[in-house]
Amino acid sequence: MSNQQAPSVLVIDDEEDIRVSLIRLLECDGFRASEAADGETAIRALDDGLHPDVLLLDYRMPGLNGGQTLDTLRARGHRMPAVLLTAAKDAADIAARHGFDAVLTKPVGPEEVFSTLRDAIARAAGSQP
Amino acid sequence: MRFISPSPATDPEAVRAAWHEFVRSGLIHPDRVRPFIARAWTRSSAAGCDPRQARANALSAEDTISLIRRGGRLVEVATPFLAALSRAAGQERHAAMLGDASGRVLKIVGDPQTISDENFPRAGSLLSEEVAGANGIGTALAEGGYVELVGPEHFIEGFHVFTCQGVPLAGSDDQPVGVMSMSVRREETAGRVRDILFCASEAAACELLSQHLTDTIAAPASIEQVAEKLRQDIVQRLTMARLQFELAARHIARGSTATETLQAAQELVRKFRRQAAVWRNLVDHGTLAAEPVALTDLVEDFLALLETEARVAQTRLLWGRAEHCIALEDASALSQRLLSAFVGAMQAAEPGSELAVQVVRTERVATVTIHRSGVAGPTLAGTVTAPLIG
Repeated sequence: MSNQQAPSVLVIDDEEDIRVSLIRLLECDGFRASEAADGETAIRALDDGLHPDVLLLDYRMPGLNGGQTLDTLRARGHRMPAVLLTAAKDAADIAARHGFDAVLTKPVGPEEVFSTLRDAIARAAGSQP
Repeated sequence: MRFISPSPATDPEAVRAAWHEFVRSGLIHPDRVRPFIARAWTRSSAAGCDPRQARANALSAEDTISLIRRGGRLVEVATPFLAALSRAAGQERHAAMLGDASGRVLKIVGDPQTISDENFPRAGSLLSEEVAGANGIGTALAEGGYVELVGPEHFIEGFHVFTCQGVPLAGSDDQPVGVMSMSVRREETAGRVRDILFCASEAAACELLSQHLTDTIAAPASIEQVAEKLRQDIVQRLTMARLQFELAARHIARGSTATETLQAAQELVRKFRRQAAVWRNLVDHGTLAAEPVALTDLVEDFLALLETEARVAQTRLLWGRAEHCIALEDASALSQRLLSAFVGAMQAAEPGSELAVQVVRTERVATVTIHRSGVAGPTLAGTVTAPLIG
């Protein structure tokens, strides 16, 4: 991400209302946001050249769940940070199992989403050689 | 939500004259003040509240910190909603407040001029009617519903410059655990933030309920895994409501209307409440005491509750024939049997299948059937029967 550009995020969630609301809020806060309704669509988009600064993944989705989606993306060499968004009680375990960089527990407000995404991007930028 | 003050406030000058007369003589003109204001003034006066000056009522700094610590979860849940209310008020002078169930202020968010005014309540101030007269926090608690007090409808003269609205917050057992209020200088601003205050109070109460479901209720082992998935789906509704609410706050702050967005948020909050009630019934260990159960409504609730589970299983649950039936059975046991039938049918179905649900009554029993679609015609995928009442 260049300093001149707004941070970009790919929202992967099967609930259209959540995707649309999150994207509108993210854009209000200065993010550039794109969306995918399931894991397979997200994988195709990244394989086709989309390169967001951070991924925001729901866990419970038809087809690949959020963890399986991230595992597949990592296996294909996509290294951008990923934030898990879930209402699961064992959210921290799921995040650790799949190597998510951060976890947000639903219900969650936008300010917490914004700061977690920005922190994840900053940490990833700081860890690059 | 109970609306205690649905009728518009009467002419402020007539109310002001009525206030002066009440303070002087103790007499109320019922045609000049709204009924809930008359009740609030009477309670305030009977408690010995001084209309010319509020009693000293603030806690020490140490006690205030302790109070806020005790209100931990309520403060934690309400704080983002107070921030959103404050955002919606924009540049107007305002204060969004959270009080506990006794009317003690736990948190204030507002414009710097209002909240730094030494005469304005602060965290630790007691705003019960006994101490602070008729006001947005104390009167909402005393009346048990939404109230709006415009200018001289406040009992204490120092509050006459404000229009205050308050809504009690219900805890997981529906009893009030606190109150959320909004104080503004201009009545027009009060109108602009009214709907978002309703929505904030409902959504905050639902977040308290959501935490209760998550932290304190354990499902029977036989349905533990699926119950946990359904709990997550219910919380998803609340997440949607929260995001819609936050969008509405931003629209209102820009001077736009947000009626549709707030209606969408409130509809999601209603869905959350209904599904939370179904879920609680489902995970209840039951009493095995037969009781009347509106079976068709219960099945309809299950179809809504299982919407996400069906989508994850890549199946569709559809209504077929639905006859109105009142079954006589333990509601939790019946709910658990319905869940097993629905989940079993979904697990056995091929991706892309449709599952048609029917409720049919015979002379003595009601039967819920689930039929799976297929090229060779529908196949029975699940059945639940329940005795009918009478």
